[in-house]
Amino acid sequence: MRIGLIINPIAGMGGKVGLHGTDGDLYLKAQELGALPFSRDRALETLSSIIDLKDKIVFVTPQGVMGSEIASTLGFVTELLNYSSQGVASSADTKRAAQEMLNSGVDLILFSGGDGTARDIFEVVGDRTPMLGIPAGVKMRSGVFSFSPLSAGELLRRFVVTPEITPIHRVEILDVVLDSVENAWLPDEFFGVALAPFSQAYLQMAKSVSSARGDAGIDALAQELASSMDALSLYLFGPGTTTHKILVAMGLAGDVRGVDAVFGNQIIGRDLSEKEILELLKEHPNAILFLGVIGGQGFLLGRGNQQVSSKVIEAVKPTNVILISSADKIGRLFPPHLHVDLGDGRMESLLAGYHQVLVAPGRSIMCQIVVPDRCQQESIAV
Amino acid sequence: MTTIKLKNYHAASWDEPLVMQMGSPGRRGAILPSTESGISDVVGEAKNLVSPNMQRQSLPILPELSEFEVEKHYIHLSQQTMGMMGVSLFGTCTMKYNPRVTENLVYQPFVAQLHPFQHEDTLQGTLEIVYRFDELLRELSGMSKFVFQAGGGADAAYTQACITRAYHASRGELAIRNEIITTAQAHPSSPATAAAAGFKVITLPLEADGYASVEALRAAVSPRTAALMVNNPDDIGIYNPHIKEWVDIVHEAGGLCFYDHANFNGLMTRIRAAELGFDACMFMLHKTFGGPKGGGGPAVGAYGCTEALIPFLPGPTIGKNDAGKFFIEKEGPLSIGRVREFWGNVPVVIRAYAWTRAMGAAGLRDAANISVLANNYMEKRLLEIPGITKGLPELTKRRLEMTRYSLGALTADTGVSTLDVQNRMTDFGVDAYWLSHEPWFIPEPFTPEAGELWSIEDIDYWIDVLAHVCQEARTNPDLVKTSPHNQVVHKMDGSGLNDPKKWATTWRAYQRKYPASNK
Amino acid sequence: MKKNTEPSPHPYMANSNNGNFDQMMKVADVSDIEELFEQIPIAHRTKRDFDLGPVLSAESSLYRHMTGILRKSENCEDNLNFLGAGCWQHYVPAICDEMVMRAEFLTPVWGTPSSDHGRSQAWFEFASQLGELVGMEFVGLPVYSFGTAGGHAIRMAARITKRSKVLLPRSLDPERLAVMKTYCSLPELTGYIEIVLVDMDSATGRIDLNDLKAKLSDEVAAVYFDNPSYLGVVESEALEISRLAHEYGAEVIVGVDPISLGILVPPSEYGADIVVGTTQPLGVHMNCGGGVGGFIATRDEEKYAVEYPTLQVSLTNTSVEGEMAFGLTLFEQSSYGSREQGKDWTGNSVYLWAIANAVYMSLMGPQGFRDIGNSIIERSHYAATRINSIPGLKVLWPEGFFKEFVVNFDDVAIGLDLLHSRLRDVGIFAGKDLQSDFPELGKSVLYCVTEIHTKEDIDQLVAALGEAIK
Repeated sequence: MRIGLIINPIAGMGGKVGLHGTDGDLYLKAQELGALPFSRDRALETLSSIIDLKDKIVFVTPQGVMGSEIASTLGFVTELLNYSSQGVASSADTKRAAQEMLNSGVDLILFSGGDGTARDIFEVVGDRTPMLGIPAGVKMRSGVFSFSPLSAGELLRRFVVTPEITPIHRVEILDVVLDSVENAWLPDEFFGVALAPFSQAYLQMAKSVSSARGDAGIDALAQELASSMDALSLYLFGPGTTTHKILVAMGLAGDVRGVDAVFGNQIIGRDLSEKEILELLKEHPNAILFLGVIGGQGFLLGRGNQQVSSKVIEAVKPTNVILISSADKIGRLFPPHLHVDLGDGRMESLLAGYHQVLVAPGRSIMCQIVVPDRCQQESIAV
Repeated sequence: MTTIKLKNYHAASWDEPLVMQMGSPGRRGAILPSTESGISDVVGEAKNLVSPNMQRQSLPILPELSEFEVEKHYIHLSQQTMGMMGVSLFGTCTMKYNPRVTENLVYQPFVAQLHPFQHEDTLQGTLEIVYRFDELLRELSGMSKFVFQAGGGADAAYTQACITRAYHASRGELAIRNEIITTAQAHPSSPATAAAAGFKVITLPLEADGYASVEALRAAVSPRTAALMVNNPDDIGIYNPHIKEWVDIVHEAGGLCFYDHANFNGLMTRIRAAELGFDACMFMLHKTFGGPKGGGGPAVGAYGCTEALIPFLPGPTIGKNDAGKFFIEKEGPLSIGRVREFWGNVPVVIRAYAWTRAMGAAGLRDAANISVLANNYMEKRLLEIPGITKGLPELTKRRLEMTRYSLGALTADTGVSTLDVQNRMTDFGVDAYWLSHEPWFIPEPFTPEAGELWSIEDIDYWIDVLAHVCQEARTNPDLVKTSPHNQVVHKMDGSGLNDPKKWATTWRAYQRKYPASNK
Repeated sequence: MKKNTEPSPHPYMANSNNGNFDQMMKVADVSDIEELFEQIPIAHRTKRDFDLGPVLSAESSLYRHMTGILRKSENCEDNLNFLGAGCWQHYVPAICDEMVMRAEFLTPVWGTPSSDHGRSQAWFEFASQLGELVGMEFVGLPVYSFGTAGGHAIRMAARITKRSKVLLPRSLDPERLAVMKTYCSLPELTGYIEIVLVDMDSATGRIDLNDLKAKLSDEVAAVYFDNPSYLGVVESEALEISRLAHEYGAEVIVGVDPISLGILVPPSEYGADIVVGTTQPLGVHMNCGGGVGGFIATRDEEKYAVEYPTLQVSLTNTSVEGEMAFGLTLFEQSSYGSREQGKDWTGNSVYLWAIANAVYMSLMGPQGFRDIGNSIIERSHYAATRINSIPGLKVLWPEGFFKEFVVNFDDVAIGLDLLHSRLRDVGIFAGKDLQSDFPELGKSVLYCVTEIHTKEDIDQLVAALGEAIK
């Protein structure tokens, strides 16, 4: 099998020195602060664990630190890409490697890095080639990452040895980005849907047996919700794959990245801005908003969906917000808290407390929305 | 404590073929009495007694073996089964001694050769035991009546779901009251049976203090609440101290409260379910009360309820009249009918009655004390092993009869998982430990329960084996990952088990899918 | 240390001696045992003492106590029993009992595929041999009973067809019908399955095909019938029933008594999609009804497999070439794997009986099943013929039955209660009184005759009946 291998040699260096990544110029800062590369070590751990698959895998990889060095050291067969990175591997290097892999055709891209690396590769390959991330960054919110370098090895093993029972699932690519104007961190941004191998058998060991079933529950729920819609209400769908499934079940093509609106069983708005949503709500005050739980942190609002502002919630009315998530996603939250970050303490405290999150038809989990303590800020504002 | 030398153990390994692969055409393992000529004279040939289109043409393809060959084969299979004959500290299932005396009793004709439709006059002894055991469980729980029809704990949970249905239907409220509340730490059978009975299920998640919160429950109850189904303590050994308040909240909302007593061992003689306000509870006779597990039944989920729910119990029920005579009573109009045919796994009820009488009230108290003490003894020793952490360690109150631990740290260091460790421990004659019910919120979990049965030597041996395997995980992880090595067979390849092209639940299917296996 | 908390030595508790108890207290760092129960609020503790009667910790005392009570019952070995009706008296070979009493088979709780390999293999042999009898390739581990198997099968069919009505025969065992009803929920709730009974043809005892046609529609998830029926009748038009059901896209569920399958055609050959049945006749004692068990079997198709509520074992291999192992298939669809999102629920069942069943089927072999089928059908027909010849007694359907048959007493004056009491006086347990469950059959009784009944036994019954009806 042809496996693309990209090691982002500078990934993860920011963590220990208190930076939130090594994206952009932060790498130099990290180096200044004395960070050491560790992405290579993580990749080494993964590859060492599958050394017995030598005769089953050809690594398609850039020359040098971005791949071939480790692969060859361990004795894997490699097929070198046409270029090699000199010195510091940049985001452009990652993208170029991914592009070449896409061109020459690989079965999967294995990479070592963080959310930034995942995003770079994703921007090139989209959902055309499955990805598998060895967690080696500072932020690893995206669904392409395995739990550890060893579990990445285990998943790759299954992908190579028993592909027929290692299904490819759709997962979210997330990252936080630096606002260049404000020089401040923006919250989790949803970038899109990538493909990643998924092994129930392995996840049984890593986490839980029910992962696959959680998806079945959401699929059935999406069907049920889709068939229960009336023609007189406005339906708003927050970003993400979970809410998007309802649209798919309705036979509608929305935009998974943004807020979509449905009225009279038709899409009347895709990837809407806050202003556009509010305008629609003026026209159709009878509205239901579907929200999914974003990422692994339990965020409902204020991460990757800022367009769903407190004004929007106000207009929809909190009682008309329906929360949905796979049972598995909630199961991974401990304690089972959901978060909202609306920059509006009044609305946040209105939302605080326990809410039902639907996980399948007739099945729900009570989760508490916990809000940041804004009392202090508000008193200052007053 | 002294370190015990690990046993140089190896499981029996007969390389035993499938019974379908054995034998020779024409051999007989059993012969039927020949039909007396007086019968044939009257009815003629058997063939003519079945209409031609309903006659089986070719004989079933079954093994043809002599009687001794069958005995030897299954003796070999039994020897290739560890069961409880090693050391088994299997959490949530409360491994108990299954006294041989009751085993011998229940195969006597006065138990084995009884028909459930015999006239009650001919079943007085059996009915007396069942009735007396009902009395013992009433004494232990404060409930008003027990039935034994449910074939296991999950079936008793289903009984509760059906009674919840019938109760609210009788009040004309079922169409509205269609939600059952449970917790993430309840046994899966609670939410599963509630769902199968047609209810919506609201799950309260486990919070930082080790149980679901009163606030979550308050947010979940409504005029739609039909019932609460919970266990306490849960299977990580944590007791919800607010349970009385829970019961009050659900009662106020108009719902019923069911107490799954799966984890009763540590509580025996300290609490009574009815005094906590519960409407019903369930005991597993094949766990707490000394009945054998049988590899998964026959079992009994003894279901007990307060006076108000008696009319809804599945029938028939057993009573005693003023003259001291026992009778079988047909169910009334409100009864849920049946969850299973007849009135239960009678031999299991007999065993449980005998076990309880052999223990007595003081014995049950001792058993609870010893089992909780043994768990705390284990904890001291287990937490000395590098790589093992306690589930929810910040909760420092003493756990009851079991505790959930995590091998997450060991796995992070070595890549060796809890399943690997479980497999490797069997190489030393230690039965697989219990991991965790879904969902796993503690990584790489394992849940031992020492109970009152096992000797301190057995418990120490179990811990020593675990410590040894954790050490192996660091020095020779492959040895652990590829285990077992001293077992009947080696590590199972589970990769095809969920693949329709590869699974084979019968020999027929296997032969079709793997033609090379046809000999 | 509080000495009064120390236990008394008991044979079922190793650490009930003071030495070990104190040792554990020391290591666990406990001075008062009550410290260990700190989680239980005082307000939760009971204030009333427990009275469980005098303790019987001496085995000899316990044995005497138990036998003293249990011997008050009369059994079907000392009496002549003709009761069947869902729990049947067959001979249980000694080796079946030997195996289920083996501690290795009696005590396992869960194990691993390697450490409890022998038990798993026995389970696989159970499924394989049963599959041969019923003609199906996918067989689950047993469920609680015949009735629960039927209930699960109906729910499987409803999920497969996404329909919510099921047709059951009027002649269905009322005990099992009651079980199936609880599996079909109530109309107020989602997932309710409506049960519609199809009439019985009073001339034959079989399903009334005209009524079946009238009740079939494309709303029907499944047509269920037994073969032989509860009343013993062989549904000889089974093929036509299946054809009609399939015409409407309904699943066909057939309930069988596998002991008949050495001579009766397997249901797979007349259109059954799901086969359910009892396991009790295959080497398990009646146990006052505690011997019952059920099974579910289908073709080896994913459509059916993914709806099984049971656990099931599959033959697979190990890390060593040529070595067999047995693992659970489709575990994650069980309630263990998926809680309330699983298929129905599973838990402890009657897995020990599966071992008795496997032993029984291996002992019988192909010819044994043919012989026992013949023996039962001959003996039961002999009994029916003889009873039919008693003046005033009538066998309702004297032909085309297996093992059980209905005797009508309308033409004799005596009430059945008195009749049966007279028979008990001479050591005969008569058949099952059908009056309340099947009033349309009049004063009728269901008789069961198996391979255990000799000609002499039957003649004795006939003579006793002749006397008792006077």
